[in-house]
Amino acid sequence: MLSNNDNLKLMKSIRILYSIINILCFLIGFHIIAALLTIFFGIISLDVDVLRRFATSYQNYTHWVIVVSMLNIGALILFFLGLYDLRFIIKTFLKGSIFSQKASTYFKYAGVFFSLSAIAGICARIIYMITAINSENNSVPELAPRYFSLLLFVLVIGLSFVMISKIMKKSSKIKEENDLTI
Amino acid sequence: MPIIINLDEVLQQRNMKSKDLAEKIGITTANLSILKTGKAKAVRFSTLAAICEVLDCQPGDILSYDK
Repeated sequence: MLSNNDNLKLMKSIRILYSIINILCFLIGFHIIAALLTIFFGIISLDVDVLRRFATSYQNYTHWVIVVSMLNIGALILFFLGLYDLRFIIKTFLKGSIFSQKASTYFKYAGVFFSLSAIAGICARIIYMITAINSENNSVPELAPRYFSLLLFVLVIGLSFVMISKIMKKSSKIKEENDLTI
Repeated sequence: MPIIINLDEVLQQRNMKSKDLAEKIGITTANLSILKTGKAKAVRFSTLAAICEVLDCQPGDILSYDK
């Protein structure tokens, strides 16, 4: 069992984590809104001449540019959903129930979202690399996330969360059994 | 759960209230209620020994197995 002092320290670090996640949620949410608005207003204001110039500049790569952009936005949305689940988990911790079934379920969701986000980002990066290598003048716009190792790290974090969710599920069962031992 | 707790019957025979038993063995009435209703997952030997000592009975008088 944790002493009062340890409990206070734990709550303090959880509160700091909650604040950081809130800021990150705001930043990523803002990023997604900006990306969606850019696409929306870009399509509205796009001139036919601009579209024609774009199509001639990138020739066979236009559809890949769209795929990479969509994958990029998809990865951002999935990352945001993962963060939102993580925020919910921290909120549950702040309420005092650390070993709960709810936290375990949300850890699993967060893990799956982070993993899918990383996979979408990796796919976008690979597609970009292939199209950039194949293009003659190497002028395909770089829309994919730049840091491959960072994407792999997000994948590792996602898979770790899935693993933690399984541990949490087991620990919540043990805690329930311990609470019901008279 | 095939394990049945006969604590109510033993308490009735001894003319004792649950609250008094909880106080004497040093557990809360809420925990004693969990034990009596069969919601408990396990009983510590120390708790069982304390109950047997206070009620002057054997563990078999409190616990029984039913298929």
